[in-house]
Amino acid sequence: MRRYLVRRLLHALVVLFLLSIIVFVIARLSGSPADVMLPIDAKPAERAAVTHRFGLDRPWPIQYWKFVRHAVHGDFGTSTRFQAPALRLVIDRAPASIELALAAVFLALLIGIPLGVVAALKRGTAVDHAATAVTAVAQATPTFWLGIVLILWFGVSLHVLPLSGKNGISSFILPAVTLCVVPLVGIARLTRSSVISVLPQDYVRAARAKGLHERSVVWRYVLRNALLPIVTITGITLGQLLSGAVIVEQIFAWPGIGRLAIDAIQARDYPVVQTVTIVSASLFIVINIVVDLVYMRLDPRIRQRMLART
Amino acid sequence: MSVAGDTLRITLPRRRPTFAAAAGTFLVLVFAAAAVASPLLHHLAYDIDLIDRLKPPGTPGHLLGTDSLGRDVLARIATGVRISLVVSLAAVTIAMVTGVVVGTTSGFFGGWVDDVIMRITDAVLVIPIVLLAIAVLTVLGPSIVNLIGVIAFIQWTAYARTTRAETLALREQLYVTAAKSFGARPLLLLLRHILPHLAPSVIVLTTLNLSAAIILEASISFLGLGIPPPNPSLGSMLTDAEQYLGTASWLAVYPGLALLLLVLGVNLLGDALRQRLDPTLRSRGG
Repeated sequence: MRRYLVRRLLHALVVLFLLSIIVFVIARLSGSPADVMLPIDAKPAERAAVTHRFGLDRPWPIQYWKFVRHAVHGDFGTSTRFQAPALRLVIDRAPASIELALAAVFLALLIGIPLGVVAALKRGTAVDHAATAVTAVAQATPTFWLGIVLILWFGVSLHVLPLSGKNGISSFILPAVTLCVVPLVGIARLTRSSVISVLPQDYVRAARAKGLHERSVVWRYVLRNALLPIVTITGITLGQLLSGAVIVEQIFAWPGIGRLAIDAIQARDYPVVQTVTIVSASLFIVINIVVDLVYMRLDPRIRQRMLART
Repeated sequence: MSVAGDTLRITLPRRRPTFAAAAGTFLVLVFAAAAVASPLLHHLAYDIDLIDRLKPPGTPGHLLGTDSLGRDVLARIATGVRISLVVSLAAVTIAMVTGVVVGTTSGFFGGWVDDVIMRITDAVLVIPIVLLAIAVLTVLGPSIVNLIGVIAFIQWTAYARTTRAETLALREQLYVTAAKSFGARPLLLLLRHILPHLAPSVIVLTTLNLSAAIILEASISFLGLGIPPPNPSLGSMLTDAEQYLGTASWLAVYPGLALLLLVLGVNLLGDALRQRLDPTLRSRGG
């Protein structure tokens, strides 16, 4: 068990190291913050002064080494735009993104699991086909368009919900609904196919043979086994939403790390860009490891297989 | 993904196309026809006519109305679909070729090259897609070629990982060992005995990637970093529409609806194809 964890963590470190190089190089290629901070007719000397102040006149390997050395101590540099520690900025904005992601995943589970279960139990009937059609349309719906259409209906026409910003529970509704569609499709489909694969199992037949109510067969025997794969997809989805809500945050003016990242990229604010990417990638990796551990706890067969691999 | 058709295949005779497959084919054909015909509507899609601006749908000569510069919305959607299809097909093709070459080489030869390549794909996979696209396009500037490059860069890893995993398994097959014992060279082994068996997975992955690429193009253009104006993109048409939500809602509704139907068509067609080709679905006996 410990060997498995150590191996996963080492693996994660290697990935983060490669990621930091990719991000570092992309950020450097995108021009200097001096281009954005100074007027277009700034003198070369002023330009050089700004470049020097941020240490951007040193060779890349030295800049990178400095970045890594500080990052290991939790110092991700100072935002060139806000003159504040980059990590501080990201941590301040992170709760808004995490809350929104959790709300969206909760909604997706709330709608997706029953939809999948019903479709599987009524397999081949009109109910199943309707559920399939709904998920097919949902899958094809572009997130940003859905956001705009919801704003159009609920905000502009009906004036019932706040259109933008984060201000109380009601401001969560539109962004969370917009964001939940993508995971909802995956969860509904996985639930359906998972329930279908569990239904013909011997233990389900045995439970029925014992004369148990259909309802308790479904709840106690089918669902408990069928929902195992949902744990994985929920975790992965959560990881993706934490960082992938860029467009939804943009549309609804949500004060999360997605918008922080867009603004930072446009201002050539390297420390913030690097921090956002590395923090969200780390969250993603950590969530994946946690999901695998939970999964191993829930299903001894998987524990055997995963441990055998190390 | 494709549970959609599972049930249909049980209830219907095997070779008869399902409703979903037929609907998908129909949608894709309609959009392909629109894309091919769109150059005929060039002047309607590009010529600015401020007298005719923001005309609602149903105005004579403008079935879906006009935008803030008096350009025909239907003509711009058709042109947008054309650009979107060109971008996504090009991006997916580049991603496919790169990914398959890297993946098969990595899986076939193994060793440290394999380790390095797989860790690179891991690193690319954990970067938030949209952030990566924004960062790279801010550097390079928005253009069609750059957009194709970015989408290809995001998608090649999926091909690399899939083909690597399959190559690893195929490499151990008896017929490969047999061919090797007859003195077949590595390149011949790869081309003749491994590559053909990868086709089903690669085709399946391509249908998934194609709709992902269409959505990605629209999303990036929506953020203003994709197709440069005055060219229409289904994404950037929505950006323009945001200013007129209260007064000209058709500008926001129709391009998005077109995008939805296009992606739906590609997905349904892809599902149908997957039913036939996907080895994991077939073995499940769905």
